[in-house]
Amino acid sequence: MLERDDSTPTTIALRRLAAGFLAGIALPAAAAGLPAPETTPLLYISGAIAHPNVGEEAHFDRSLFDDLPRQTLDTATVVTDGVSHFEGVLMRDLLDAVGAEGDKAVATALNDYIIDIPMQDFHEYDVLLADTMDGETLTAQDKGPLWIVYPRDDHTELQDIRYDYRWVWQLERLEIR
Amino acid sequence: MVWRRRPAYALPALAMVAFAGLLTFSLVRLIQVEQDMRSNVSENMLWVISQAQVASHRLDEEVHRLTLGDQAARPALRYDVLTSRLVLLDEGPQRRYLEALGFAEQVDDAFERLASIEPQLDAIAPDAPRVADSIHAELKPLMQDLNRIANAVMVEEWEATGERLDRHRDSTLQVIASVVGLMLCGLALAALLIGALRQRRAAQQALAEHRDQLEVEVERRTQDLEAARHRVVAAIDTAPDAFAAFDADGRLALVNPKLTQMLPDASRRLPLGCSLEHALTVLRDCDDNGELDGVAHERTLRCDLHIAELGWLQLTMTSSRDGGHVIRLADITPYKQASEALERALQRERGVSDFYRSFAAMVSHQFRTPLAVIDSGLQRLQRRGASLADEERQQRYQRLRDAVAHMTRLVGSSLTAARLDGGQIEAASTCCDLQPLAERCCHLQADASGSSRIQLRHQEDAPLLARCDPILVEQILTNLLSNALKYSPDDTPIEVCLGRDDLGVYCAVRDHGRGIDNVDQARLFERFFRSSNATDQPGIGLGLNIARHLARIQHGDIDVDSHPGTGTTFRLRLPHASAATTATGEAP
Repeated sequence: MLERDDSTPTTIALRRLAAGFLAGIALPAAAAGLPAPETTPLLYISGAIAHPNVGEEAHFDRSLFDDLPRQTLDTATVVTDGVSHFEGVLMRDLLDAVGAEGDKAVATALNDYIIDIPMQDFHEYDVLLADTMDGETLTAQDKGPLWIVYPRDDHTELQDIRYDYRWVWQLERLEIR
Repeated sequence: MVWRRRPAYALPALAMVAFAGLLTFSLVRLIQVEQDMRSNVSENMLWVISQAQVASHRLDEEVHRLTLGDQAARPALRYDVLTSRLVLLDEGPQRRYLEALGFAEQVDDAFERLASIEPQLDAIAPDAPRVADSIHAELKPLMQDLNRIANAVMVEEWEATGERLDRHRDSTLQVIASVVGLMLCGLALAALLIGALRQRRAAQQALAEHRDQLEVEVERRTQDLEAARHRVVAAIDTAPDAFAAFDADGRLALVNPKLTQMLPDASRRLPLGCSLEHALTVLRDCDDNGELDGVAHERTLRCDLHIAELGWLQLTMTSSRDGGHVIRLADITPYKQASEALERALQRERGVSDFYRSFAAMVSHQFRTPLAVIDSGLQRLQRRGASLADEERQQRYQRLRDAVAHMTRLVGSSLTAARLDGGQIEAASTCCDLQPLAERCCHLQADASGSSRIQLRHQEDAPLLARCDPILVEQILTNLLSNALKYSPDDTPIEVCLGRDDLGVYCAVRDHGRGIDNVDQARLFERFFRSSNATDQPGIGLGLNIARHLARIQHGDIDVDSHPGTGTTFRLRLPHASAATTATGEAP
């Protein structure tokens, strides 16, 4: 389970700095830019990013995705029964890895679902970009390959339909604005 | 009042309980509505179904686009998306929702159709319309099922929304009713409060009126009491007697002016507030009668006081009902004086009566013997008078005359004694020199007896002043001198000595006669007593008795000092002229 962070602007800035520093240690390549994907990308990130690896965009294949720090999250969802166990990377870590600078992320799914998510969410909450659920890899025939999961059980304010629509599954593309 | 008290508390309590109950009910209802509005599972279903529909149509579209040669078409992706949509429909809440609507079979059927489509995906190619038709044949019932499900979900949602609106309306109406109830309760409480305030004001008004009435009543009573007090004070002030009133604590509370008049220093010695004991002590100090001395502090008291230079007062102390005491002093001097005058008059009358009785007794007792002597002498002269010689007859006449002379003396002595008995003789005491008085008596006795045996001796030249009645002193000395002459031999001297000592002044008459026995000395001054060795001399035993009486009414005395065979000394004692003045007032 993840702990909630205090989210004053100062702490956010510090955390970004620290995250960037840690990312630099974990991903020596990041400092010199993301390596290019070697297989079919899972996720395309475009817009206001500092570290593109394919043209203006950052493309993550499975291997690049797996290089990010892994996190787990146990929470219930509005479309399944009981508490599910999710694994993946923090949205915050992912966006830091690409040097995203913006107010919102426009998330687009394989099923053409398009939604705006405030970047603030990723700093205030430990929002996970999950690729497994209950130990099984998510596929495009279910909610995969990637599913944005909020720590719903840890924060009562997240148990709200205005957050429920931000749980984008079959995530394919993020555009930072 | 008891029957009013219960509703007075029950009604507000009821209103407050109702208030709390209605408020709780309203809040619960509002919270229920809020929670009800948050549950949005069913609202999401329409979106899920419509997206599944869109996915199914997109798959069909992409299959045909690829068949028509559009290389950008990606039917496999659309297949995955449709599968994903159906998986979502098959999950937990969505599955239960559809089962409730009776569409579980259609969902399962949809998965079967997807399973039969999947192997054909790889066979889709341009100019292969048969595959596309085959896939379309599978998709068409699926799309129709999804369409029906969408319709049913829409109807269900509208129904649910309608029901929810009904519930919300009911809840709203209930809340409105509760609010109305709350308002009524509030109004009831306010009305009760206003009523209570009004009652309180009325009670206060009634209380104030009652208090005013009481004050008026108290004022009136106070005035009456004050008037009564003034009357009492006026009555006490004008009373002929002195009054001093003490309160229940024994403190002096009131005196009248008469008290100050009666006891000039009373106002100084009896200040207001002093104790009853103190007042009695003051009165005791003023009093010289002594009747108040030793009188214990009692509730009631009555005694006579004699105040110097004022007279007699009668003290009466009574206790009042409230435990206080009143002392009354009445001037009874006139009554006392009248009483004393009456007492004296009575004594005098008694004295006169005693005088006559005593005189009669003495005459009857003492006069028989000389009368018998005279009678027998006269009988003898009558019988034998002629035969008697002249000389003898003369002797007999002489004896008769002696007897008559004795009787004459006896009458004088008896009168004097009777006067003394009856208190008829009073001493007119003055200051006089004893020496010339004694000299005159000595001369008179010497002349009467024809002897010169009496020798007067005076120790000093200064006058010997005594407080006495000269006539009575002369009578006493005459008696003492005649006795001395009578009871001593003719050749012995009679010595008269004048002098003074601590007891007063004295005049001693000393003879050198036969003396008096000690036994007789004790009775010497008794009336009619005659010493055993004096019977040879005529006498009746009245002289010394009278002499001592006369000495005593002058506050003097006579004592005797005698030795048989040697002589006898009688000593008349009288008070000093200076010392006797103080005793004047006590003389009877």
